[in-house]
Amino acid sequence: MSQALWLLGAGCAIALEPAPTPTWAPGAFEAAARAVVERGLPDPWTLRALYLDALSAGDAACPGSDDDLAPPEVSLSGCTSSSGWTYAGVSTFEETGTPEEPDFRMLNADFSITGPSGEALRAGGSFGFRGGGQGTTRWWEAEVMGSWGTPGVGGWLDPGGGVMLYARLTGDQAQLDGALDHPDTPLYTPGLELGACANGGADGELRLRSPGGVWASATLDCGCGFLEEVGQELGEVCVDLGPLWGALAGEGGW
Amino acid sequence: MVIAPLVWWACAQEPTPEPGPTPLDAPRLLRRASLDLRGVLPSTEELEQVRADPAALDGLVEGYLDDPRLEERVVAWLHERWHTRVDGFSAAWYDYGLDARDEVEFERAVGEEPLRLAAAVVVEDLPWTEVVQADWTQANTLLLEIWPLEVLDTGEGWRRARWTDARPAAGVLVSNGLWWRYPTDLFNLNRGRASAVSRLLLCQDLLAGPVRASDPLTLLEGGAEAAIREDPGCQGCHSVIEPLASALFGFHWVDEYAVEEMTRYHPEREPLGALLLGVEPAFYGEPTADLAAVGAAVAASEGFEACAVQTFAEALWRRPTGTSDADTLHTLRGQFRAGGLRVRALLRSIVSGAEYRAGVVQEGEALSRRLLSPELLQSAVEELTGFVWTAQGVELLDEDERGFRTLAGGVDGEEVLRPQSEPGLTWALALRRLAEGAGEHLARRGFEQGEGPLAGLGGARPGDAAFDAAQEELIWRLWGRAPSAEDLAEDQALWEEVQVLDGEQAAWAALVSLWLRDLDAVTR
Repeated sequence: MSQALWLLGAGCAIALEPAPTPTWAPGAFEAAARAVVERGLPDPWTLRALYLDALSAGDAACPGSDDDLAPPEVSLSGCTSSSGWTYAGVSTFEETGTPEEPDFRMLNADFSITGPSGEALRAGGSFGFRGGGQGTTRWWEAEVMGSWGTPGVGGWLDPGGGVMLYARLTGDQAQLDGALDHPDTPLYTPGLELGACANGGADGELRLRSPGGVWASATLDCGCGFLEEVGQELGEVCVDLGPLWGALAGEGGW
Repeated sequence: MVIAPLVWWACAQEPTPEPGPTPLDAPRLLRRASLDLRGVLPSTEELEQVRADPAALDGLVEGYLDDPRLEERVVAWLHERWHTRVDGFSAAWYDYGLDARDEVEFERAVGEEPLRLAAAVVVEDLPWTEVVQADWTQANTLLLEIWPLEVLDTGEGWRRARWTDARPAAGVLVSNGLWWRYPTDLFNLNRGRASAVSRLLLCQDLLAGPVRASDPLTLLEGGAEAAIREDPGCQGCHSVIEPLASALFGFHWVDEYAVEEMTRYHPEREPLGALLLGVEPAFYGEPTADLAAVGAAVAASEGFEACAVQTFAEALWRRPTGTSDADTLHTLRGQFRAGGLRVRALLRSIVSGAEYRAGVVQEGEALSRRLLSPELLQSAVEELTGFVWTAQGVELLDEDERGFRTLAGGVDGEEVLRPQSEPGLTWALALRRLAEGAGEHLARRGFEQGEGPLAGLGGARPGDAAFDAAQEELIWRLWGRAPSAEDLAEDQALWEEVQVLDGEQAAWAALVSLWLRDLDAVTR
């Protein structure tokens, strides 16, 4: 039902379309954001460990390498090692750093690795990490791109999904931007900064997508901001991204 | 003066209408409609029915519109325009752990997914707008195993399914099969896909016109990205392309060959379009919140409606439409709209029209003949003779890596984008081999297995009632016209010659092969 506003004397009517009913509400946004970050992030160190552990279970004939999947050992349709691990696809991994200054990169991954007990690592994309320093001079930058999943390990990787995340830590502050899939509420941020606020809150824009496909956003100032959906302001939200900060600033880095 | 009134009288008369095409006779027209709508020849009984009573034609054709085999025809027509039944994609059967023997089945399943969705809309008599607004798709057993789908219908074959990866309700606009056929990369950023939407669903080929920057210096100094955003010559198309491309980033892949990327929708990447292209999603200036809104905008556009009419008219007329068709297309569009945008009603209008029913186009000119496409040749030959031309498990008229689809005049969807409309050398060679195989198969069935129209003809000679009846009935069924006395005599002379050399089974095989290569057999 539209509202009509009559201008007396002018005798004309201006019909105003009612604002659409919003999908999001501040409380739901806060809860969803918390749920997303509690699920964790697909971090490059975990991916590196899963990948190298899986390759170490093979043998000289299959996959025939400690860090790459490539023909002729690994055909397009895959090979099975004597230990029962199956490797199919391609990957190129390189590691040039030191324990003090780690530097590793999965340049391209398009593979499926399956263990004899059904454990699996599926990948399509890339990841990388490099860093150094200690304490207040500590720094690193990292990214995870593509689609990753490994059922059974828990966290974001179980069952996994799509990701395009780039993060950087300098001293006691971190920056994160990109996109992260989630079964209910995918997340996107053009840029979040963590560690600068005394209360631990984040600065920057955070967007979440409802199961029905509606995006809402909040531009946070030390963790709080106003929630918007399709240009409608829906109220203040205060988003606790503590687990996110913990994931990025923890020992060893993201 | 009496001249002025006479002149006035002459000018006041209605102009003499141009003579239209003479309609095809009822049996040949029934044959045309049966092949077009069902993919098979009419039965002898149906041909006899319309020969005795031409008015019975419309009732039979109406029944053809309800035939379940219409689905295969719609799939074939739409492939000729949407080009998704290709022989390879960036992801392959081995990426899903399938067997090498599943290669062709895999490729056809992927490529047909959007076509089957559209065909289901037609055969279920839904409004054509469902093609871009459906919250379901069609999937077969193979797709249900490899893609994030949940089945909605029980049964075998292609059935209704729903995506389980949060992709919006937008019909073919969220089809894996469509976007696998029209991939993009990190430089093109969905612009090619936006152009495909315009070409396939709005019949607006944005690449058909000249690509010319207003100021070449913009290209030299700023590069293509700057020209796209600033040059008026580029903005003519890119003001449409960029916002439409911006809506497609749920299909943004960081690696265009990685099957994990290609398989699933990526809702988390939907905002990237505005970031990377610098424009918010929109359809011809109308902001769109998501792909579902794009689908709704496409469905509501005049171009979508007009393109549907053009698509199916061209499919049945077997030629591109042009300016001379404007009046007819306008009329069809009104009928399409009046029919609730249901394609079956549109098909009914098209097959009832003069253009479809044209026989002799002009006095003294040849018949309006339309070459049978390879899949139509195969389905008609299979129904008549039981012969399917295969090698290594592959239907040779349906595929190009091992087969002869394009050689036989078909569309491969990558290099050959339009069906052949005139006979050609490779077409003739492929047809010859098909006809030989079908003739031998039918003769073997009759003489060795006692099946089919040649059963029981052992010992029959030209002039015998059984021989003559079989000859006339097969020709009647195959060509939709009765053979002339001259036709019969020439065939019988050939039969006698071959029979002396190779026996009566080979002689019948030769005749069937010859009949299948007649112009009346390979056109409709």
